[in-house]
Amino acid sequence: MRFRIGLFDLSQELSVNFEEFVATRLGALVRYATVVTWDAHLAEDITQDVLVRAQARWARIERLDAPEQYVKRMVVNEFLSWRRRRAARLVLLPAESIEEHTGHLADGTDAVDDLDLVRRLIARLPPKQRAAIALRYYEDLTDEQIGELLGCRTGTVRSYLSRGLAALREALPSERASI
Amino acid sequence: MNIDDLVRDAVRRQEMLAVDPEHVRAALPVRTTHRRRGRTVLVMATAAAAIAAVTVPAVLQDPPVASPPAAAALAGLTTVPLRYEPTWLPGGMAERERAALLPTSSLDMEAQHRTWTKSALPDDLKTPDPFVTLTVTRADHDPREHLLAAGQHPVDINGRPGWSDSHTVAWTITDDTMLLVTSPELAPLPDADLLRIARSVRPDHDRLRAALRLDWLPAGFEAQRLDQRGNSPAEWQSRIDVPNGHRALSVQIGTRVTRQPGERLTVNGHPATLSIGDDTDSDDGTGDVVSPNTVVDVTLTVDLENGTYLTVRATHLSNTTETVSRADVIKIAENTVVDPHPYLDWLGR
Repeated sequence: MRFRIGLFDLSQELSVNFEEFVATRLGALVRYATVVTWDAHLAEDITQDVLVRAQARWARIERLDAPEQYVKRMVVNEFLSWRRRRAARLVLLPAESIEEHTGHLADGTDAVDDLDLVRRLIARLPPKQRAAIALRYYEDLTDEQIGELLGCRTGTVRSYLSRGLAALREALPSERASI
Repeated sequence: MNIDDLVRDAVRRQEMLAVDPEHVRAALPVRTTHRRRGRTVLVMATAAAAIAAVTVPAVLQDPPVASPPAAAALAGLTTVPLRYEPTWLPGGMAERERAALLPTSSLDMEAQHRTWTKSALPDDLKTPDPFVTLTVTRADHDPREHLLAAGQHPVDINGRPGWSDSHTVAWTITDDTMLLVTSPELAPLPDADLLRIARSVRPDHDRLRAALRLDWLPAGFEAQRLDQRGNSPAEWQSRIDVPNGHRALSVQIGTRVTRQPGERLTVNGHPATLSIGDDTDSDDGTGDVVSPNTVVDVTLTVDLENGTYLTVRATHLSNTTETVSRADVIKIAENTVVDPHPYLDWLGR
């Protein structure tokens, strides 16, 4: 049993130093960045930059209620910054890579192919649509939470998700998915 | 499969493409991998009593009165010269925190850190928005390369080269010293304010003075960092961090405390509580086991019976032979001397 004073609990008072944060959370953070950016190498780059900046400000960040969430927001912000948006567009795959998957006859590898196709199609979405989809399906965030991360209203989030999913539906062969 | 299932599975496939985290870790500055700073204890609010300080080993003294450094009544207190201060801040900002590495520190991290906020610190003493921080660090920690890589642009700060983004201004005020003025990343101050603050920075002749003197520490431990924060001389805490490898010690005096159940003791005539617990740190939130270690936490809180509390806290990993014993924690408290005239006048100004 923990003794509580007011609203506070000892477990909430432990602050994690930067080295401990990196030691325990780096893997999860890299995976998160990989899904948000949809580019493993860009994710590596962004994660490094964000951690260097977070390190310089750790005295402040460690006292936040959720330091990891703050760092994740830094990752999203960095991804959506003007310089990164340019880099993010480089994720686009050639159209023929997508078209190779259309008109495909069903066989035993369809399920795997579908997943790869969807992954490639998501890579073609604009960065904010892509990020919104990642945050919804990877982090299970609500529209409000996604809006807070992306710096936009919930209506805009719904629009990103709706348009992104619609683009995927349109691009997927109808006989391959009951969507 | 419906579209949701397809997307969810695609996301999981994408996750599997993540690079080895060690690649990222290897690219971080070396200091992030070798040096550890102590876990900290944030002491919670229960009372905003009049300032009271005590020499723990001695009999209860009269409640102390905050006083400037010149009035130090206790010999041997560590002081650190504060090197710089902004001479202009947005209206309503008051200083709430000063932190600095101690002269004996072997830590490789920012040397000094000061924080101003518009609103008072809440009960948990976390920094509320909006805030401004001034950080002093060595120029060999020069973040220029990273800052510029992250899209910052160059600025001139009183003739010295600097770099700025939406919430930070950094510049080399001397060849070996870099300063950073920072506001909340997600709710930054206007660029013009940040630049004005940076350009107002001047040498500061004030000093940060510890409110504690640690007369005994276990072998191998040395005080590394001093942190003082609060809203006023009546509502404050002063902490010394004493990390050592995978062990961490902190010794703290202040007007706030979190009470825990535990063994009741008497330390130098004052009632005290000693608790020993552990926090299993095995889940990274994704279901992956990341560490089999358990962090053992030994906390001794001494009620100095004048509105202040001394807290000695030690943590270590369960799977190592390097520990901090119950007896060590008690001995540290018995040999900690509290300044009867802590220098806190700067709080809230």
